[in-house]
Amino acid sequence: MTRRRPQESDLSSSSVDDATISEKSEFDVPDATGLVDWVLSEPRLSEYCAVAVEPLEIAARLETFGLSARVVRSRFGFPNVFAAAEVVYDSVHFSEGTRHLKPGPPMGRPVDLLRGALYAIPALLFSVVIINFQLGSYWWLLPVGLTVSWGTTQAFTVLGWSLRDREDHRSDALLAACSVLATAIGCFLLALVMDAILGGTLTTVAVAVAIGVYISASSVLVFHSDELLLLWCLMPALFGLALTFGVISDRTAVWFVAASSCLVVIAALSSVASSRWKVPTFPASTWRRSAKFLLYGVGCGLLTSALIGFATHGAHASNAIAIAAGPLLVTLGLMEWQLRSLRSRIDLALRESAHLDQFRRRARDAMARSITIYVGVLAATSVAALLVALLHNLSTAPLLIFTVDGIGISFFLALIFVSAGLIDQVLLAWLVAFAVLVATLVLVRMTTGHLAADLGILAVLLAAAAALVVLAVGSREVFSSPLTYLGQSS
Amino acid sequence: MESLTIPMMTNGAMKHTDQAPSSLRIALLAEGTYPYFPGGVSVWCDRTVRGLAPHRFSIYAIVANSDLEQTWELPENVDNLISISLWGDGAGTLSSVGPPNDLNAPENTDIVRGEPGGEPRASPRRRRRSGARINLGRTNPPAAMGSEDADVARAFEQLATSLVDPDDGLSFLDALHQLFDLSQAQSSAPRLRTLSSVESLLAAMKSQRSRNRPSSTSGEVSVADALLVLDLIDRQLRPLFEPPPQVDLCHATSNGLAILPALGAYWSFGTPLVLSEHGIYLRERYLSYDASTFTRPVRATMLRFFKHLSWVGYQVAAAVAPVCDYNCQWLEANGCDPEQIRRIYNGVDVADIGGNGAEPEAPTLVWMGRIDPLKDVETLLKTFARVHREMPEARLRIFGATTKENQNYRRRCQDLASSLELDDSVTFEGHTNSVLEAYRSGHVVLLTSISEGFPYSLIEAMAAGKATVATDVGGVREATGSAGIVVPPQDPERMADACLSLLRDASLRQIVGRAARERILSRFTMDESLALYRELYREVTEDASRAPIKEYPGPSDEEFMEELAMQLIESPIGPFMKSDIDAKRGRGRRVSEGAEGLAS
Repeated sequence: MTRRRPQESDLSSSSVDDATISEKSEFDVPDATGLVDWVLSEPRLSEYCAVAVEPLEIAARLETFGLSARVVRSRFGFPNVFAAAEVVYDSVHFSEGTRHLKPGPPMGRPVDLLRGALYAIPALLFSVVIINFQLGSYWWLLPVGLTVSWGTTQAFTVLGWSLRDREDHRSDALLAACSVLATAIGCFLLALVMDAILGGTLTTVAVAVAIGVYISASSVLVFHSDELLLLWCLMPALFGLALTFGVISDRTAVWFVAASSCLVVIAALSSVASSRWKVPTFPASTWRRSAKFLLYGVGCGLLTSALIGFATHGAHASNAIAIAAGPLLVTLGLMEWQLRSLRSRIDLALRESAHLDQFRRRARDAMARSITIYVGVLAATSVAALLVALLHNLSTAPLLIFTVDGIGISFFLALIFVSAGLIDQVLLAWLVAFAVLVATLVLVRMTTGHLAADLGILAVLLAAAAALVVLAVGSREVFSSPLTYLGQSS
Repeated sequence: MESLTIPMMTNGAMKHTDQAPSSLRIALLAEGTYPYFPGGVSVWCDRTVRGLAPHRFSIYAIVANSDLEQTWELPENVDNLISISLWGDGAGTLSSVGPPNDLNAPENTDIVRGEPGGEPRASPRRRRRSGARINLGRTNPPAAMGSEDADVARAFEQLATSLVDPDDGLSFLDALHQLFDLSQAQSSAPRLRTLSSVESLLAAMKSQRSRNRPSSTSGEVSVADALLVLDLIDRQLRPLFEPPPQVDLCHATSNGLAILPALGAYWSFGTPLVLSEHGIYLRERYLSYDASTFTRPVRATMLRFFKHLSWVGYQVAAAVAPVCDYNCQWLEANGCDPEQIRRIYNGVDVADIGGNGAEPEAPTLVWMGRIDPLKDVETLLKTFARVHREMPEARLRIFGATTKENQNYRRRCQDLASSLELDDSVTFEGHTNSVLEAYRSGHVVLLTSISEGFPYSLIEAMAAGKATVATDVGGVREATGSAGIVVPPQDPERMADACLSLLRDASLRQIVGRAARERILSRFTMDESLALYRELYREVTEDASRAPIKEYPGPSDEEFMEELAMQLIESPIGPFMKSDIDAKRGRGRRVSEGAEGLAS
């Protein structure tokens, strides 16, 4: 249909006095049919009118299509645009319109398992390096790199999200560089301290720094969803490890690992060279949040470090440690998968529930489902690990496996809390866990006169259990409350 | 001795006197504009504040995020800048920038800037006016309730329920007042993010009434909708819970969120409010709350929130100053008393703008403004595509900054320019510091907006002696008169025809440009505008010192009406108002009876 605009005479320029709208209409009765026909002949306008929530909205739209007060009066005989809008509102059929709402978070997918593998690979790489440099006796190497980088990457991720929220892409490169640099400095200083207290060499300090820098750089790539690039960077190391089966020596493989680490760091910092820098500024609230995430990451690192420390000091064969760590490393991807699925299901429940009770029910179901799946798979892999350990007569493995499982479940629950913005509860859980750990160790020391490694591992298990209890208490209420997701609904 | 002349109204326009006003402390309240963003309202703020010295200003800038860079240098007579952010990490941050000022003087240290959840701040000193002043918005005396949370829940439920009815602005106003009082009593913002708030909103959104569209909002409201509305309302009400400005006068540069600090000042200290309306706030909300990005219940509820808020602005303001006559109809349609309206046109500082200079060689169209959907850059490009077909050597220069929020829109416009094969002839010049040079770089200046007040880009171009083609929105016709071509909005063909006729006829351009300049010099100067504001300030502040300054129908409490009537009878004007008072008594009674009937 040809669009019929209001007549030229209606729209010609007029003096300022005309705009005070005083001319008399030539119509005795407004031409409602003519107006509605005109509106319907203009597809976009009729769509706007169909979805309008009240007549005033239609009045606003009519004006934007040239139907000003003067035009509706002189052409259709309405006293003003509001009277015309009333007629259109009552005449044009209501429509929901086409909505392009922001899609909710996607469900977890099996590919998340591969992402988990990416997180687990470094454990393998670091082991190769530590074994080949004969640094096994310096147990603090991995804990230093792990704890510092876990804390800094969490803290810088918060800052990175803040930049992303305000679409500040120019500060990204600088933030990535700062993240890597801060990790390197942190690792270096802590390694020097550990070196002075527990003994070490220049190589141990360098390896501790390298571990931290690698984790930090890989986190930068993961933050920017460059997992594929990370995988490509890891190819030399994986290739080198494959060649150790009869082609090259373990010592030569270390160079492949080093090459991969360098590639990861270069990839993470590549934007530094190409981007225009801008020094970011953050409000105090962001710094506070970042500090909380630093504590959260350090807490995760310390709990893991405590376990590494006691495990390497005990009579546990390195095989036992590897078998015990297996279930957690294997299920890292499942953790990611279930977390994403939980977020997606909660979002769907928010959108589809018309009542709070309905939402609560669905949220609890989603929560139970994700936790059950993760714990179930972790338990299954743990049983398998236990069988392998028993086959190899590794009698100390069960305790290690239980402890690693405890840590894994508490990490998963903590991850869910953190992703729901409940960082304070996680920090409280960590506080309680470390209080339990310290109290148990003091008790053991006072009772037995020394700190046996197995009892130390038991203390870590109790600490993880305490964290789990803190997180579990109230989690049902917290996660079934829509307020937890306020600000996240689309 | 010079006598003081009270401003007189003629056809809604205010005439001014030349008497210099004494210095006032004024809070200029702006939402999303000055001093962080470019655009006509920011231009107006800057020139008005500079021009109104020796009055001293505090700028209250309500902004989305706290990490904004200031784009305007504050004038000498600005004492401080207080930014209230609604979104982002620093949401709710109240930061102060600028030199120490009166507000920080020992006698005014009640207002302490800080972050929510930080150190408790002192309550602002109250100097509520006594006498016959009617306390707007408080229709029910605060009941002796239980905990503060219960009070907040009750007030929010009233606010949510008020959104059911398109005409229940009074309950909305009362709810705002209750929430403000609670925030003052607690010295912090009331906690609105509660389950009871979600339930109140769910119930209200499900029973929202839309005439003739019964199925439009019922039965489809989700918990996510209620949560989103709660999130939006909680953020948008934050300015209400900040310490109210302690000044002689509040001047809001728009309706909507900008009036919230002024409400606090009015309720706490009786500070009068002057409300300028450039584009109409409510109209622009209707145009910007797109149906494609929000669910219908969310749109309906938020638009009603803005409708009620705009209505509240008109009720509380001592004077409402639209920038053109055309927009007055929008004010009245949303409950503004015509007696309150003082139309004041924007003005151009003619000393800064000379006449038309030399024209460029290639036929060039110039457009100046924010890259924003309300400015309809897409119609501009379609217009130019047609001009370019007829006149391949023609050029289009688009001047104006793009805010972060509109980066996608800019990309869409650039894509459109590419798809129309205009990449070589259209240039997005970005922000320019030399507006005059920009106008002079073209033969014709265009304005394609779908909503306007009294656009600076148009009157400045006219003052520069340029021929203009503009869309028929807001006060555009009043600005151009017969000294410019006005075409319907969103009509590229008509606009292109007008452009071509001007580009092809140099003498026509000159005639139109000369007439435009003369029109601006004779009618729309900055001096005229500033003088009218000075008069308005004086009128309003003088009125504020006399009680009662405002009456307002609505209290359903019969006792309250009786008390008011007694106060008025006892006042010196009582004998002259007996009939009015009797009528009010009757109205109060009728409203009460109606309410009882409804309850039963």
